[in-house]
Amino acid sequence: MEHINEYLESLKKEVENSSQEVHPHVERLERLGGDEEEMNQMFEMLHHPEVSPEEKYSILQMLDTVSIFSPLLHAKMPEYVNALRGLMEDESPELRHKVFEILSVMKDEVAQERLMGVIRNGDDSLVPFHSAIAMLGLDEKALEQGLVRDIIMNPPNEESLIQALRHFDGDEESLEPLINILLDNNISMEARALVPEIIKDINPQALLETVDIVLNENGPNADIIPFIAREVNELKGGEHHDFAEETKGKILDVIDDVADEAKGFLNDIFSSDDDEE
Amino acid sequence: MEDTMQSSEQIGLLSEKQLNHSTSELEFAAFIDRLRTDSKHKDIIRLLSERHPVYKGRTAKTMVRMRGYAIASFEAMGLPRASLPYITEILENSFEPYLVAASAKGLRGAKEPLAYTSVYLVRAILNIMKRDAPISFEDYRPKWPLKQFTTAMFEILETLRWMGAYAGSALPELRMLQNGYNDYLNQSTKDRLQDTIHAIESDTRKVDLSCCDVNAIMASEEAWEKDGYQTVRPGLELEDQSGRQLEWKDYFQGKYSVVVFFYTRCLNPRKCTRTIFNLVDIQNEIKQAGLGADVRTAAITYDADFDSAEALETYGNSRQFQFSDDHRMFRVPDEFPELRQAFQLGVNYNGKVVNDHRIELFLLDEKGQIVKSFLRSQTAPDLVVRTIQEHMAQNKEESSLQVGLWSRVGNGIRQLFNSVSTIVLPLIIAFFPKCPICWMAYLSFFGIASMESIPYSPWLFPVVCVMLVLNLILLYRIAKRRNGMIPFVVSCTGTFFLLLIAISEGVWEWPLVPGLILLLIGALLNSLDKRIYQRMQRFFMDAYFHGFSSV
Repeated sequence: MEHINEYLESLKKEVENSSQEVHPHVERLERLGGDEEEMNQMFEMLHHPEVSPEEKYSILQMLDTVSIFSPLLHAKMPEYVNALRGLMEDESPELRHKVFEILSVMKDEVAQERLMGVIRNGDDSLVPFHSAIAMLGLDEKALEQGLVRDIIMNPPNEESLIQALRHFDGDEESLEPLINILLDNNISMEARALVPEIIKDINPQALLETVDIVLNENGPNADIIPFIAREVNELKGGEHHDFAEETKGKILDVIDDVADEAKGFLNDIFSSDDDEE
Repeated sequence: MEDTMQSSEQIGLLSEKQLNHSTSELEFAAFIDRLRTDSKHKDIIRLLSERHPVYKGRTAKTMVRMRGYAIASFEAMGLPRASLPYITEILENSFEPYLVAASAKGLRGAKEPLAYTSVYLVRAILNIMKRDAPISFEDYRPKWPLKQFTTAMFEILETLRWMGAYAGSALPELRMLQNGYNDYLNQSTKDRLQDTIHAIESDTRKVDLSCCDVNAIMASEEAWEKDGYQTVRPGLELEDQSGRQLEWKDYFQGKYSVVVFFYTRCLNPRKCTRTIFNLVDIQNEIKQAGLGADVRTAAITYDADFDSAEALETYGNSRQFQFSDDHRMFRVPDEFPELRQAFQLGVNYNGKVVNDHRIELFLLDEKGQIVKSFLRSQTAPDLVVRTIQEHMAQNKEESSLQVGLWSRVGNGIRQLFNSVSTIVLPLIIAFFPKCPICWMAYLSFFGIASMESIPYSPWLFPVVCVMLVLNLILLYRIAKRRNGMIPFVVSCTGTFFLLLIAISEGVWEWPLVPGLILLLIGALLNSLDKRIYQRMQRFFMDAYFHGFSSV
């Protein structure tokens, strides 16, 4: 308890010593947080056709900040959300993006439905395809895994593939396409680096078998090796311990041929494990 | 477009069983609209279950929309009683404005307000007041922004207002809301709250608010969901929170078990977390009731892919789960679908992620059979323990009844043997051909049946003697339990007469008739019902001592 009291005292002193002047913008936000009438006016402005997108953007930013501390805005959430939903199809892409961002953080069901429409129909007129995946990914229950698998199998672009891989649980059906992505040197390392973990969760044996393929096809200097090694290391101590040890041995056998940067990374992975042992 | 509408004729042809994961949301909505006009409650009730195939692979929010749209339809088509467990579960546990609003709205379809639902409506206010949203039930896909909309809070207050005096028990909480939570209510909500309180206060109808044991009501309401339980395969593999591998029969046979389902990624604090805390309370109640050695508890995860043994242990420890050999958490690594089927679990998945689930608790007997389920609300620990005790008592009674039944059957057979033996033996003896004259009489009868060639055999005489002795032994043995020694004495006298024939080497024939008659009388006296025999005995005693006139 003493520590807490000391901490509170130090905070009080810090506040007392700080400048007494409050920034006018902060003052305005504070006033807005308790003023129902002004809030109503702002909601109306968000609907008003003569208010510019820039002004609306600014209002959104203010309301977004006020929502952190204002009980009144929580009480007015239905009006606020109604106003936000009304901007989901605004002409300004920046405004739309901002609105979907705010609604996605709230896990709003209507926004999620629209974003799912973007993914399902491939129509990114509302927000870019990869942004739709990322925004839906904020709620772990919002992405239909079947759709994510389809994106991974036929990605419209590299960014979408990366986002899809970030939010994919993996299943047996997707194992082969995932291994193909892992082995494909034409795909960016940012995307390929996400794959070993998914494969490990679906089928650890398949990941261990992939090491042989990678070493045979791309040699020890393959950039993906450290990412695979990290997952191989995770398998130790479990059902696949022996095979994981064997695979680790294979990687260490060729470590002298590996570029210095990757060598350091691999040594770090395996030595941390040895330290624990 | 995934949600391309089918023609109305096509939708009209769809039945509830044809709806599946490929049915679009708009098709689903059109299906509900059609049921609403046909008032087909049963089909809609089936669609409220999380395990319905139409929800497979959907996101949690999509399920919210679809289930909510179905529940809201009860306002227009009438509220079926079977929907109440779903509605009360949502009001008590859900943080989804659309689903809560739909449930509150659906309650207004009841012919008469249900007083006990006001408890759930008040709980829903507290769940929803800081995260409400604009809602429209006019259209499945409304155009935003809406000029007019409802909210979960408005729907709850509207239902309480409609209930009037039936919501009387909610008044203290509503006043507390009005006074204590002023900062969290906007002006229009404050106005509606005031209207609601006024409507309840000014309703003069007399309502019994002492009702109800909600657990009991719920237990009776959800009966329809209990179809199709199966016995779990004894070899189903489990892993407990310590990483120990075992088979289903190792834990769930031999003692009663309380089983709940949960998963550690559950974000709803009113569901899995409360389920585990409630199970801890049940563990305490079991101990207090002195059933610690007879009942096990288990919490099984829906999400074996994510919930490792370590995750289960951490989750349990942080919620004071009292781990021991008889109280464990489990994951079913490879065969969970089999368990899901056996328990008919109310859970659905989007990929590997649970998209929604109900609250469910099961009681298993010593054979691992499901004997009772408590669904859709947290069950009071004392009710769980009471139910276990009742089942144990019932089991004990049934076992003793079974033992009693077999012993009665055994006694019956013995009594029948005794009765038959003591009657049949004298009859056999009576009709046994004991001399050449008898044989002549029988041969005369057999002649009619062409059986005249059967010869007289002198060796049959010893057989008669053995049967006479056997008859006396049986009568003596049974005498104490039946009608006393008189039948035995009478039979002994009859036997003596018959033996006189043997002693005289067949010269004396006169003892034959009295001997046989006494033998038969002895047998009949012995086989008479005890009460009849005693009455007869009293009659003769009275006659002997007082003369027949006084009888």
